[in-house]
Amino acid sequence: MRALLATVVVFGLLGCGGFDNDPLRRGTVRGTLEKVTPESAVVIEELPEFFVKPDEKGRFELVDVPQGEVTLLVLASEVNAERLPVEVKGGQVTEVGSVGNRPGALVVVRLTAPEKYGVANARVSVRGLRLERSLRTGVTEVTVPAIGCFTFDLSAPGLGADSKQLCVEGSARYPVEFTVAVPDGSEGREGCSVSGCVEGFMCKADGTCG
Amino acid sequence: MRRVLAITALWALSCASTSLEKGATVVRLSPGQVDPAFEPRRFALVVGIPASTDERWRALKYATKDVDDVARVLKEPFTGRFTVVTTLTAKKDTTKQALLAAVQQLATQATRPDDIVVIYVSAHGTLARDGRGELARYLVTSDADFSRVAQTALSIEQLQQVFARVPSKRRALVLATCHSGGGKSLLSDEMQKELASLKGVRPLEEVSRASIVLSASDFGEPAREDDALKNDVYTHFLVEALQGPGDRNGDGAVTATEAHDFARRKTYAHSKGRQRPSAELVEVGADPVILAGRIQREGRPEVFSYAPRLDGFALKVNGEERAELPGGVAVTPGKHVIELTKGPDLFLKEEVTLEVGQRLDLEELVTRREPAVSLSALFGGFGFFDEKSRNEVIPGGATLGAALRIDRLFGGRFALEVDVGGLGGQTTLDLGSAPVPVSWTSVQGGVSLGWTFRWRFLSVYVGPRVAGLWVQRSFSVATYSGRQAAFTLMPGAWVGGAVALGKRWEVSAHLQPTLSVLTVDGTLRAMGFVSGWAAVGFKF
Repeated sequence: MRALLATVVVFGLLGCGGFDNDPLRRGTVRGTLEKVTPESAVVIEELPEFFVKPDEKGRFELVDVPQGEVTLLVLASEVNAERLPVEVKGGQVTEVGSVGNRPGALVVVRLTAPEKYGVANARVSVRGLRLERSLRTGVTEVTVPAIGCFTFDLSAPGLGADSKQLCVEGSARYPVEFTVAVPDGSEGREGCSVSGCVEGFMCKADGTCG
Repeated sequence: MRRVLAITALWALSCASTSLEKGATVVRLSPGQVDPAFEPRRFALVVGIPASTDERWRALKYATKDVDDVARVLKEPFTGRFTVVTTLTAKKDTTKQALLAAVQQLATQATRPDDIVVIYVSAHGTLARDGRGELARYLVTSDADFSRVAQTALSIEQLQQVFARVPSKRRALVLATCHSGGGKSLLSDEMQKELASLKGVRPLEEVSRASIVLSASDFGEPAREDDALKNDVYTHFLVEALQGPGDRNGDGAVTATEAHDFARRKTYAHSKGRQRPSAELVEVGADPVILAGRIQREGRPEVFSYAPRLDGFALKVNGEERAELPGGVAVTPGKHVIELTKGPDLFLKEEVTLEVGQRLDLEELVTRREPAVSLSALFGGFGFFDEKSRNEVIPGGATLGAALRIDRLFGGRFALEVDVGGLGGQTTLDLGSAPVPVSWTSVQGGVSLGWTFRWRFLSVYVGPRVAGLWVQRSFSVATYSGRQAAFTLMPGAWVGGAVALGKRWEVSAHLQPTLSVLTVDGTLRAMGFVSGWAAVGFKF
């Protein structure tokens, strides 16, 4: 065994060059969105780092995607979103054509803050989709593909953070409710200094609205 | 004073070896007393199997007499001089196990390389399919069952294997048997039918040189035992040879090859060409096995051949036909024209100068005249052993090339081959998704050193090899364009075979398994790689 290993090492050192198949194990996914908004985006669900925003004509191209079957999430507009399986072939361009024409599921995200507390800085994002909305009024809407499960991450400075998962099965409206309690401890005392208070109330020194 | 002391001390030390041998007795011996102790010892096992327990084997009339005659001549104090001659003829001593035990016993006695060991067997021979289904020769031992030959008789192959374990390097196995279906051979009905069905083929050629001629004649040949001679025919003339007439070169000794040649010619003449000896001499051409007499002078030059590929050739010396090969003749010292012919065809004609005591092997003469260098055009292919490498590196492809081989190096047993080949093509890689088209170019070159085995017109080469392989891949796919190349040195082996087509041409096939080490996807990977060639070569 040692002799074989030594032979491999010696002859390996005497050789030169090599073969790299990695570029051949990656492919390109190309397509077009008919309607483009500033928030339009295409992302691969399993590999969120492969995220692209279409150009002004709606054309998009994801390059160097590892070969294999992936799920393309197309966020076309306020009402259209699509999820479609795509087989990426090494060394090839996979044309998905015109996508994002299907109505998505409208997710209504509602944040209920403690009485008197403001939510001016609160935001909600959809994990893996780089979608983020402000919850300034306590309510916002997000359009996601009409099938699949999504994780909504809430960030409410001064009040804490939370996550909720929602699975959708059609292009209906789906509610996602976040309720945050009055924070306690030192963080709570600083709560309203970050979160603010609703109109007519002042943030006191202990972090509560009064 | 110091010098005197030193000399005295040295003298004392020089005497110490004698004075230290306390209790030992020093005996002074003359060379005449010592030499016999170092003389090669001579052992003989002489076996006759006149009858078997199974009476379907016909009894042999003269097997016991054959044993007596051979043993007598071997024991003869001025000719044979065999010191230990063991004779076995009784049923209990000639069973399969008893015979093997007797040969093994010889191995414990003949322990010096220069000891001379002879086994002689006069018995029935037969043919049967062995455990591998191949036609094999068997000695009909006294316990051999006519219906179960392969299981109960002693295969010649096994006997030879056991005999080969005898440490002596001067061995002769003389089988005064037959296995052709006539005479001293009996075949089962089943075997006779099988042989009869092989029309146009000489089945015995596969198993015995001696049987080639027999199979060309009728199976109903006259018996090998001869009532007039009261012996096995071959044995009769073998005994005669050992009594002096077999000394072909006149050096005073009868070697095994000389005795065999004498007996073979006499047997042929006695039967008026209808029979050839059914004996086979193993170890022919090896270290001289002197069966009788002593070498008293340098013998006359001898010209001989026992090479299978020269079987059947007529040997002419100065235009006169002297022998049919295998065999040999003694000639006078001086210049001679040696010819080998077969029918009207002249195979070799050469003038040679032979000196007293010289032995000219015709096989060497023939080989020496053959071209030693061949240049071949190669057509073949290459590929990796494992599927992963075929998928990820290159699937393999065709190759064209050339090879230069030099035969008969290092004492004639080795060949050196240098080859270079290459080609290009297009194929696809299987990287787990859609096939990836690739254009490839490969160049490989190697040096092989092969031990050479020759049999008739076939030469087989086996040996180590070192090769270099350069492979370039070019890709032009939608997402990637580029070239990648790698070079590796590959240690491995060479197995080849060449068949001569006349004097100048040959066809050959070569297989070259090697170990390649390449960097693939950033990892150093050892991969089995093989090249296979078919070639047409010209010798010069």
